[in-house]
Amino acid sequence: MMKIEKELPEIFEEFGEQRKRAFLEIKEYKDKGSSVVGMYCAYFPPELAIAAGAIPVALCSFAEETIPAAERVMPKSMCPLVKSSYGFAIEDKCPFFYFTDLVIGETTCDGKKKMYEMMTEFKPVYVMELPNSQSERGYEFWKGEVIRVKEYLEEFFHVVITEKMLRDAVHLNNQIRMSLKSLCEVMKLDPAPVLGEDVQKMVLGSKYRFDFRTTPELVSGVREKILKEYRQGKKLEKRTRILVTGCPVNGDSLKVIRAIEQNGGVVVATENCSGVRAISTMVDEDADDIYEAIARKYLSTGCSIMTPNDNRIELLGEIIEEYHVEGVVEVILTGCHATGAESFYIRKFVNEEKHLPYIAVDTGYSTSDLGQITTRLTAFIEMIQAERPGDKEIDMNCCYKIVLSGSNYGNSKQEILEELWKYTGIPIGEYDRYGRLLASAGLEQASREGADIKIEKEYPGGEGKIITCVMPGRSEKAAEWLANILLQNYSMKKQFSQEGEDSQPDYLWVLAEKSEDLDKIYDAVEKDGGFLGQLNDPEGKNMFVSCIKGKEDRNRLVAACRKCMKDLEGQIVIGNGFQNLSDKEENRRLQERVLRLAGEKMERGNIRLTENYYYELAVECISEQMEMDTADSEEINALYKDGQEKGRELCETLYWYLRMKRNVASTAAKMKLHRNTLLPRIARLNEIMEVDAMEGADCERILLVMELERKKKDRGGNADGWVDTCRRKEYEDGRKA
Amino acid sequence: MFEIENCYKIIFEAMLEESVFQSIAQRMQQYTGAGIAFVTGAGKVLACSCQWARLFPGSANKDHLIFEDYTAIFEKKECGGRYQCITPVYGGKRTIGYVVLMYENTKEREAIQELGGILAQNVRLYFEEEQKQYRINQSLKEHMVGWMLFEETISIPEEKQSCRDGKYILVRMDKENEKAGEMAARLYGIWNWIHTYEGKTEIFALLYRLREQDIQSVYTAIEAEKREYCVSEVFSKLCLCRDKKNILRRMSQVKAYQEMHAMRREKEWSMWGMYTYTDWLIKKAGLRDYSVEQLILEDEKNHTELYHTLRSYLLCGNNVTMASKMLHIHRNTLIYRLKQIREYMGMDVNDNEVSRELLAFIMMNDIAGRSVRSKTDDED
Repeated sequence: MMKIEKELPEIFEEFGEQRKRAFLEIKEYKDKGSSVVGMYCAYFPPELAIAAGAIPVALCSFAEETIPAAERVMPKSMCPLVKSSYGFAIEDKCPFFYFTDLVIGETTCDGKKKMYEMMTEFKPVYVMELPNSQSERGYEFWKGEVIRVKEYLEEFFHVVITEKMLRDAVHLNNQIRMSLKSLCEVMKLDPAPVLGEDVQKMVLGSKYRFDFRTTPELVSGVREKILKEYRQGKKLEKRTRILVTGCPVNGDSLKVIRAIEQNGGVVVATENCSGVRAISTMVDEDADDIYEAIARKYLSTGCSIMTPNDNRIELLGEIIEEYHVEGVVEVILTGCHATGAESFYIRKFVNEEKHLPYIAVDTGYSTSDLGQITTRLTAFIEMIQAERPGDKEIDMNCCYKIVLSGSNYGNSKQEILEELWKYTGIPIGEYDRYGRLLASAGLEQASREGADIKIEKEYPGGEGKIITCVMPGRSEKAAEWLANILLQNYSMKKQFSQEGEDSQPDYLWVLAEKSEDLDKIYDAVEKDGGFLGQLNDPEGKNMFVSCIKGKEDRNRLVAACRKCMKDLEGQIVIGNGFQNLSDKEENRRLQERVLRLAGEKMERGNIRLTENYYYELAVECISEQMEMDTADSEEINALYKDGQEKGRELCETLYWYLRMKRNVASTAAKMKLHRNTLLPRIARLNEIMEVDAMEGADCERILLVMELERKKKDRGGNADGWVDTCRRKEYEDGRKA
Repeated sequence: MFEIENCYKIIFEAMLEESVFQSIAQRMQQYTGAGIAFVTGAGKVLACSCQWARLFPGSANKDHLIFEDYTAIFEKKECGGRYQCITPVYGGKRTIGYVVLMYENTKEREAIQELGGILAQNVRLYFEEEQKQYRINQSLKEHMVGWMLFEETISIPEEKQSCRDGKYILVRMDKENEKAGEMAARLYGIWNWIHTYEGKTEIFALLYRLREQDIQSVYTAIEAEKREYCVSEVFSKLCLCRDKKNILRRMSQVKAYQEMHAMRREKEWSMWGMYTYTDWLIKKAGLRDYSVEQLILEDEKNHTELYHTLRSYLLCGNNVTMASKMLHIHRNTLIYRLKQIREYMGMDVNDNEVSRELLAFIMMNDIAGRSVRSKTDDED
């Protein structure tokens, strides 16, 4: 293995500059008498050129500067790659083209076909006939073309290409491909070790190293160095992982990759003919028919000129999975209609099957749209970052949030753990003191992926334990941290439960007049699923409900009951949520009272809520416990100055007047009197006690006293009127005297 | 006949027991055949033998002399064919209790009197202990009048209503307050005709012979004392004493969410007092209201006073003008707060029914002391 002495950035820069240095190199080779075969597309097997003793070289096609020259003869709407290639050729700006003995072209896209035609005017060009689909007939045909070009090369360079030479070349190329492929695969690491642009430079630059035999070793050395540094902790910060697909990106169009990587993204893979696509598959060296093997490898390249282009979709899916891609950027060179049209499928595939965001960038080689592209891609990346629920570099605050809000809402352990697993990707299991699994999330996946590092935290007092697993390639720290959080939460919960903190959900009673109504409600609510509480089986006319988590939950229950009771006759009471289970029986009695009070009150509808009976409850409660005479009120007694009949009438009026908060209109309505009948009575009340000038609290007091006397009357204590007979007698006596 | 010497032994043995008085009474009756009761200076029956209990069942059941029995025992020498021997127990210079002995045979008189003397001497320390809970020195008769007024259910005979004319005001002082005795004494500076009655935890002072024109000045004077008196409204029937006592007691149960040292007048506080009967609903039956709780939570979170505002508003009969005056805030502030309240609670507090139920709940909630806020200033 080659020892890489230089620093990585330096190596990347060197590869980036390789093309420029290669200009000189190629001259040397040329001077030594080597032949040079120029090529453009990934469909041409360079093995053939190598076997023929020539140097295959990718011709320049990625610069803005030569486009104007090409546009003098070519339509402006053509794709920049074709224009640039032709511009380089015709202006002789590409030194490789200059030294090229023969250019091999293929009948790929329309632009290139015509370009090759035009090139024949000043350069020997051999055009391979490329089939339009990757069918068996296509492969057969392409094999024929490979053999034909081999024969052409033999004739052109006056050499004989033996099968051995070809197989050697294939082997060498496979090695180069393999080394580049494994280099690309370092980007599978999360977070990524280096920038995608650097890897791209390596892949592209390797084409310009003409000392082919040393390339695999050199690339492997670089890969080792990257991995070594990664293990030492030299890596990129957490970035959004982007896959670039579509047209080839190199030279001036690297601006797209830069725009991504300068704005918080990292290009983990490039799926195009200059990226992973060309190096992902190998030529089968052991095949009986090496020509067929070569043909199969090269024709399988998933360029958009193929129809159908299933290979591309397939490869795209693999890359997205393997490289943990979070977003897909498709580069469409303006004028490349095949890619432009195909982007429809790609978008559909990425969005609907992979559920990832997709953006298409239609651009050329010019820098004029750089600002626009940067803005769009920055927004794209920010959108992914915002949407991403779990940053793989886990935000611990978010874990706290999940745990806390989970336990506050009373979610089960299982739910909380699952949410954590979804967010962090750390498998967690909770065991009780006997080692039984209480709840777990992701443990199956951990064992499948062979996560063998486990972090165990014992609960204090041997009450159980928490286990988190470290997935392969993930840091141990986060798992340990998470285990600690859960441990803390456990202790905290414990503390709360000791202090009797009200983190427990509430209970409530539902009472009904008819027990069959409850059965119906039970069935309906159970089926409904909107209500999260726990219904117990109705026992006679009572049903106990637990796990009420506050107002909303209760409202949901009320709504469900309303729906259910719509067509039923009987009345039901939905109680208040109470906290202590010890209040259970007393609370049931309370609700029974409400049901009874509701029956007395005769209201519309048949759902009774406790909150509508506080006042009645209070009045009843007071009247039951208080000896009646205590609620003595001079004011009321004073009403009887005018005699018993008149006094009772005034009392009635005062009662409703106060109950209606001293509103004449509603009092009249309530008493079913005309306003004009009411007004003199109120005037009289004002004479006696200045009712309109009284303070609100006073009114409430008098009203309460009257309520109590009413209650007493209802209970049959005194069927005769508002006031105790003895006291009324006293007043009458007083009046006589 | 019995031997006095043996009585010493019985007393001594009984004093080793847990309930000293009861043991003495029972054993002594067994030995001597005389009915025995120990009555404190406040009329409390500490213990009695079964023979005595048979004769005065009312007092025995209540562990207190009832008025009827008091007259029978202390004002007549004979009762049901039995003779009484009452030996006072002296603590310092005062009578702090009585040993009541009953016997059938006149021949035993001297022996019984001697026995009474011995018993009185021996139980003196216990009586003194008992006496310590009283802050005011009163004679048994005075105690009995108070007992009759405030505790007994039977109606008071006309002739006993010695202070018949004029009106009454009842004042209650809590003995938890160290200065209850002093507070009671100060009342004498305000009005001459006062009858006090001391219970275990409280002192009542009944102001009587009040004329219509005195009433206002009395109230003002009591208020000026700036002590925690609970003062009833004026009433004109003695039979109402018991009810007034109950309501005053209830009133003082309401946890002070007002500034300390203020008189509580029945007019203002009786509603709170009455609501103390609803304790059961919240404390035992777990009555809760999610909306009100939410409001209180919001208050705590935002350091606002919405709960207090709502209570004052409801107490003012939903009258914005009065409520804003009571809260010392501008009416627009109040309207803004009411808007907030409506948002937090999700209900229309102006609805007549809703506001009535809400006020009732808030009253109960306050009484139960779940969310009493210290800083409030209504009813001033």
